Amino acid sequence: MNDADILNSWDEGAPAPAPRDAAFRMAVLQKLEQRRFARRMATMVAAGLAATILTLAFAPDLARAAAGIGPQAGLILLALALLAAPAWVLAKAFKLRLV
Amino acid sequence: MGDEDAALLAAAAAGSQAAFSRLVDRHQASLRAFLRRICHGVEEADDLAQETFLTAWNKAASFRGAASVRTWLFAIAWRQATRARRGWLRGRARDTAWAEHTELQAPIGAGREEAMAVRTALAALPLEQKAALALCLGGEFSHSEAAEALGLPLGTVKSHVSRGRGKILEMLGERA
Repeated sequence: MNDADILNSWDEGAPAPAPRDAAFRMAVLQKLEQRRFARRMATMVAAGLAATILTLAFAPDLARAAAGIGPQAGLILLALALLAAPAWVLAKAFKLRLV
Repeated sequence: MGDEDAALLAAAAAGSQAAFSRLVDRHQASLRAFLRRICHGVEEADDLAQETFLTAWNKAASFRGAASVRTWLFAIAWRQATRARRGWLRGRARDTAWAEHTELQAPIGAGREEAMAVRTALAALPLEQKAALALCLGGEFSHSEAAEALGLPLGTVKSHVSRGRGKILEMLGERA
């Protein structure tokens, strides 16, 4: 048995792809678009979270007034946001294989 | 071909999706064939091939031209495959399961028994050895190109190819 025979037997279980495969190319480009969109969304949500945290941290009165909540609820919200932000960004990054 | 690939990759790094599409067209068949030989199914292989091209798009600007674009793409594919193997394919038990699975799906015909024997023999090979064989057996890659793509010393690749081929022939000989 020569190398070509080994390769042919090898490929019998998984046929060789066509030299030109528009469907595969389209699938790659579609995934590319999806990743770009997801990254844009992730950036926007991260920016929103950051803005929330900064407002709660540096202008708590304004934030509480805007949300109509008391000081204790404001602190709880700040703590939740501080915990959630890095967790969410990390989870998103792993899911999108950004890291 | 190498110069054209490098030009296409440079254009892709600058944001040209058309150049990137052309690069995908030029290399998808050989890359997918390689991954299909070392992965556990066509779908998994194609998924990894897609991830390889996406990684290439993201990292296009970091390509320094030390190796050819084709070798660089195969190196990315190899890393994807080893990562996938570490993540959700664990060892020889699943290789055996895969061999049994493909055995059931293989068409009945002349030479089928031999083909099954080859695939069973291949399933028993370590992944690195299988990858070296997949690249070098068809003569598509030289030993040194395969060494670059797999990140292995040249001597190791030569030994993998020679021993892998020997093991397959030995197993076939035992069956005959």
